[in-house]
Amino acid sequence: MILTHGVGGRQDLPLPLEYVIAGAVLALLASFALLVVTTKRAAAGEVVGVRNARGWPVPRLGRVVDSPAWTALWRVVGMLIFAYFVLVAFAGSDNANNPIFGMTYVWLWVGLVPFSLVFGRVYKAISPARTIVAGLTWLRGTGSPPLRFPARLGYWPASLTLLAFAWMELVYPENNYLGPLRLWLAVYLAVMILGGALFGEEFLERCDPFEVYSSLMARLSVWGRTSGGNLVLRTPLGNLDTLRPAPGLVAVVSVLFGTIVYDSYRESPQWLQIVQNPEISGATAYLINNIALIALPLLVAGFYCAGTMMTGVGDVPRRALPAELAPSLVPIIAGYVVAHYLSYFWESGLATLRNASDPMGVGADWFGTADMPVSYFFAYHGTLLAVIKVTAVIVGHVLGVWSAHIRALQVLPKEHLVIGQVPLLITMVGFTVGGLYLLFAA
Amino acid sequence: MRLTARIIAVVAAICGIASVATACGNDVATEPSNDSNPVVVQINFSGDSVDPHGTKIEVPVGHSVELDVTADAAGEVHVHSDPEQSAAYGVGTTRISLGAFEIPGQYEVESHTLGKTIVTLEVQ
Repeated sequence: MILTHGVGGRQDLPLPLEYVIAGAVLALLASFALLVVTTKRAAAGEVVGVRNARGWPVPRLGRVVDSPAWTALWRVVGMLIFAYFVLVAFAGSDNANNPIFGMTYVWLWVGLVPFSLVFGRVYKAISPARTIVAGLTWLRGTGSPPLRFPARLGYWPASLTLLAFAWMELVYPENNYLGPLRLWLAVYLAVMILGGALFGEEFLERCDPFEVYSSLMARLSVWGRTSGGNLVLRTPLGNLDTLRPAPGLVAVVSVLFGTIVYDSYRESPQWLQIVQNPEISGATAYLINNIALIALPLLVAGFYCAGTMMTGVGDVPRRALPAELAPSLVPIIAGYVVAHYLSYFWESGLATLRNASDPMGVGADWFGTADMPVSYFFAYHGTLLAVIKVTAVIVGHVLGVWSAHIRALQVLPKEHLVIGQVPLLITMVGFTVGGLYLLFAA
Repeated sequence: MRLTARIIAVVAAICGIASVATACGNDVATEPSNDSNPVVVQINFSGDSVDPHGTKIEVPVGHSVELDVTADAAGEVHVHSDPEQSAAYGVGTTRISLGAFEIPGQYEVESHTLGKTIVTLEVQ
């Protein structure tokens, strides 16, 4: 039997309306409270910014983390995981019991967010593409890579590769079959290795969807680097503030946020009634889904750019503002990922661990987890889950607004501090309330 | 700085009130299962279309669900429960019993043949 989805059966109940309202009110209050606090302090001549922006040095830990042995350890771990992927991709069965679906859509795609938030740039440390490229570089000997990665491309390629993954996960109807997923992963790896060999590591930093996503989320962790490359501890907001504007950064955060919004909306009854209308053919419905996947990031980007550009009244040109303030969307994305995927990560993640112990479906038990029952903790504790969801969205929102204020105060002239920030605030509240509404409506 | 502390206190108080206010009466009651009256869902297949196509059906926890399928061609429905279930139906009327749903959540019932979501069972 071939199952219609690779992973995930049960979905969460919608968020109760009172939670949505409480969350929206809180977001609004917190936003204006922050506005009052920051502008008051800025008007009093205080420097509003991150405390200890340079970070607290941790030289001993830094020596361990930067040692060749530590780097090699995580590269070996990454290659072992990669070898397991290759094994199940070619020797595993083409049904939902193959752990490759959960490993790709749950462990990798969802899991890299919490791991990066806690440990920093994890994907960079274990990326098999990076290890293979490093091997090729070593074989070639010394010297810089044959081509230079054009700096003006910035993160634009990553916005496309991220969209390509989202398309595979959310739109492509046969994403739960082994062949297409294997092909996607193989093409991904081939492109990354080729690009890495030609352009050097910078290509992976700018184009690898998993590495870009992970490194972006790692800006909210406490692990930072000084400009000299030394390991420091920073507050999450201080770390986020080190994310400098680059071409395509707005595109990347818009794609991340827009595709999660699409993921929430595509299963809502309203959306299903539209795309499954008997008067619409299957091909048309597929086209609508494809358009929606592109339209929602564009909508997010449009809304965000309008809100931030209306803010600009200083020496900084308006067109530079969206990129300047783009870091403020990172905590909003992180909060929404937690809210949207927590129970899915728990249940499907555990189910994948169960399947991973017996990847060939022959009754093996490699990791001792083959008989592990899947815990439905969050399904039974609906109230707790709802509280966590609203809290995650609000915390993400508050961090985002705070980060935006810090940047806005750096770029806005004093006389426009309050009025100048209002459009920005409305944009952020709009995102948060919209996100809460989707958790309610889906 | 004191202003910050005051604002944090206000926000914390609102959070507290909100969580207390919402914590009452929203938990799932763990009554003994009672499936004496199963929830019956009427499903009509004709050609490439299916009715309903995406509506929500509320199912109390512990109740079983039966699908009353009328079709002009044989096919298969698929339920995203754990374990996942699929059931075939033939031309004419077929009654499919899905058993009791004990875990709160939303479960999609799909037509495997058409690739469409027929109903979403909202178990709570």
